[in-house]
Amino acid sequence: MPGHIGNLLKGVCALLALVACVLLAPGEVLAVGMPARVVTLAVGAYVVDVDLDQAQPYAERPLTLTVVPHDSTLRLHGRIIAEPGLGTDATKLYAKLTLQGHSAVLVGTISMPVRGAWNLVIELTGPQGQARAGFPVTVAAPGAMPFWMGWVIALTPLVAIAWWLLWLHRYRRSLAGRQRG
Amino acid sequence: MARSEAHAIEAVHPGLSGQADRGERRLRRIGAWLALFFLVQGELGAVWDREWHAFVGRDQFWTPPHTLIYSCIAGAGLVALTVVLLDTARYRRGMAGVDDSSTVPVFGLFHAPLGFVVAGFGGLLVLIAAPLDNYWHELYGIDVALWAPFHVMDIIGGVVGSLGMVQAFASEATIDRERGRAGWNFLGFSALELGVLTTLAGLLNFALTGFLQFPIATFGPLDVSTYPLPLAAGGAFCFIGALRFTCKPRAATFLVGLLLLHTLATELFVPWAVRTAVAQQGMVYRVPGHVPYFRWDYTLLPLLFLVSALIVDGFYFWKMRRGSKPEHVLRGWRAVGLMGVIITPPALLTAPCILRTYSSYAPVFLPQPGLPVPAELWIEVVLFSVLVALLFGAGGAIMGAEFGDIWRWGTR
Repeated sequence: MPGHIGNLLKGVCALLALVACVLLAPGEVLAVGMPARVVTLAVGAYVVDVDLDQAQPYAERPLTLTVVPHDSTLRLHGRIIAEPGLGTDATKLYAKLTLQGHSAVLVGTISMPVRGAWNLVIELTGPQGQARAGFPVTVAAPGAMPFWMGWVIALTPLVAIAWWLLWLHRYRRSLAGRQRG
Repeated sequence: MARSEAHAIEAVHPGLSGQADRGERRLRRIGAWLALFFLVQGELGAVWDREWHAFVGRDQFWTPPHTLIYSCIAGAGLVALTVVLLDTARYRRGMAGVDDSSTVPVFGLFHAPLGFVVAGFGGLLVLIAAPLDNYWHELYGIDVALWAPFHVMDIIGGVVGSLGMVQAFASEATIDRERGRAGWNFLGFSALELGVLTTLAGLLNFALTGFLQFPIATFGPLDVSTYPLPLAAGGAFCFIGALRFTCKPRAATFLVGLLLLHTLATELFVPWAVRTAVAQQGMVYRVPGHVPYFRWDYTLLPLLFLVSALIVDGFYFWKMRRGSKPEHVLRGWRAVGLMGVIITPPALLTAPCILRTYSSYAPVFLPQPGLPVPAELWIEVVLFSVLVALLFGAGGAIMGAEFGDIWRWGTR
């Protein structure tokens, strides 16, 4: 058991290091040429992918949403509604979604002025009537420490904990040896 | 307790025999019980804080639940610091019961019991996380999820601190056992063993506190609630750890009973505390008329572990009936991991049934409304989720065995 546990603990340490590497890579870098976040929504009868150009929206920074219907033959129009969530002192905001060229894709930009919880609601109108659906986002204060940096700081103690686990493993082996002796 | 084990420990720790170290024993035991008192206080504070966010909101840093939590952290931290400093001084003076066999060196400067060093480190993490958490709330708003970075740092500190407290009780229990002292006991558990089991129940209660707010994993149109993962790992860790430490095939079921007492105390205290604090401070509820009250579903939540605990205890009992010594039951990481795999499904199948009236996340697999979920995706996601949950159960059991052995044998 001890040898296997040692290997297991080494594996856990390697996994922690891998997770740390993933967390260290900021979202913007991971998302080159791709949307930073994609949300699939059923807006009534219309199933759409909503692409966000920022995984982490910031207050006063325009956020561009691209609405891609799964049925590319649909011709929809609609708008984005930003509703302040619980604890966010703001009013509703509206932005128009416009067709991108001759495709079925809609694009709109909205800027939320207050940090905190918001619900982004997509309202669409098409051949099967009008419908709406939303999803939550958390808007950060301007210049806020990015999420990934917060995670790196918060998870730093895991290094000490991994060392402690290895130390405990060796301590257990010495205790087990004494038991056998 | 086998006599051979007692002799082995005596041979390694000759300084532990006799009455000369009575002062040291008293210092460590008073410290451990005080720290346990603060842990229970912290448990109540953690659930109160969660409910305060849900029913009232987070208007300032020093909300009533935060005051309770941080007074508990400060108290436990001061207890750990006091024991570390006193034992360092006693070590340097060469006093009885404080030597290299009963302490660990820290930075070559301090010499203190392992449990109090670890508990102090956990408390320090929580204290460091507090201002950073407040800063994070200022940046991202009052309603950031539980699994925000510095909440996670808080949780890591809480778990580490609790493990330190278990070690503090366990080392004293081991010393008593090796000396053949049989003091007051309840259902065959000594007071110090009860301290270990109560602290483990507190640790498991922390898993229950945060479990419903675990992050959601999204697989296209299918959301998967990950709350079963801490339940699987936490349950397996605590049950196997408790059995390895006590070697008594009723420890796991007894632990479920202790956990029931914890959740009962929590449900009796928290809704009342929210209502009282709101009334006294003249505050309003977030959703008018949405007021917290005692709930049986949360109180009885520990029952989700009952079948798992009975399986582990039953296995130990069965092996002992067949002549195995309790110290020799469930040896080897494969056997322990397999036990973790076996005890995980009962807990995970029971949890959604108990929680169905309590949370919309209870069913675990949550198709997004209006979106079709292909059958292949269902199969893949369910199989993957079950595999991950079983791995968490196995991992928790293996870690529980590792820690349980240290608690059983270690006198540091």
